[in-house]
Amino acid sequence: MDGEEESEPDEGDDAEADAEVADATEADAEAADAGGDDGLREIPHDEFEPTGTFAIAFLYLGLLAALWLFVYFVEFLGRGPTVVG
Amino acid sequence: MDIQKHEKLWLVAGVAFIVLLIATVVYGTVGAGVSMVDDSGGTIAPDEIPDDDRFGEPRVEHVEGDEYEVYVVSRMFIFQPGTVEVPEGSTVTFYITSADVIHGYQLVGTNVNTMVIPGQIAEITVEFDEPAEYGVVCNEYCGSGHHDMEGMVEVVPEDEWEGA
Ligand SMILES: [Cu+2]
Repeated sequence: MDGEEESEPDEGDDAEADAEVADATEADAEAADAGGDDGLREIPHDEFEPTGTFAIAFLYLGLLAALWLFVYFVEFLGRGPTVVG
Repeated sequence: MDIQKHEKLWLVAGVAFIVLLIATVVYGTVGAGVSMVDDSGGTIAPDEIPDDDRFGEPRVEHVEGDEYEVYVVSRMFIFQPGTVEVPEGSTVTFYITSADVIHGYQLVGTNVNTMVIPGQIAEITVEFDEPAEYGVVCNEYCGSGHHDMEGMVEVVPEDEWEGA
């Protein structure tokens, strides 16, 4: 992975090393913008926010629930008479 | 185990959806009283139909009070009796069997629907609250005349009913 340097930024003790790391990070960001092969971005587990995907998935689930309620209560139970025994 | 927070929410929503499905069906059974067609009607061999007390003479029978029983024989390509007449406010139990192949018996536009299997007696109880006319169709393909196989259930006002 190319975030190796980022993950251990304290490895270098001197300022020069830190500067190098900063440069590397900038370069990474640029690569990411350019959509290059090296533009990988690591996101911590709990900072992953797939808001759009989540919204679509919930919209779909909500639609399923609403349609189920319609089919069961209106189209099925509403179509009397029904078999009671 | 570390589950991502969105995934956790999605799991909860998924389980809630399953609970919703089960709860509505439980309500339909316990609250609304919807029943399934089962094998409680028993069996009868097709060649015994002519000599049977109930199916030898397919008919509507008044049991007592609001209770009626209807014995129906299905065969290619008719229902006997073709027209079933019952009064409003009645609780009607249909006993339906087949003299030949598998047929269906459905009051069109309602949930009153069963397969009619030779050798088997389908038993379904229905409450008819208001006067109405229901077309009956065979909804299991049973041969060349299947599309013509139809009947009628007429729910008439109490004073107009002139049955058994
Ligand atoms: Cu048929």
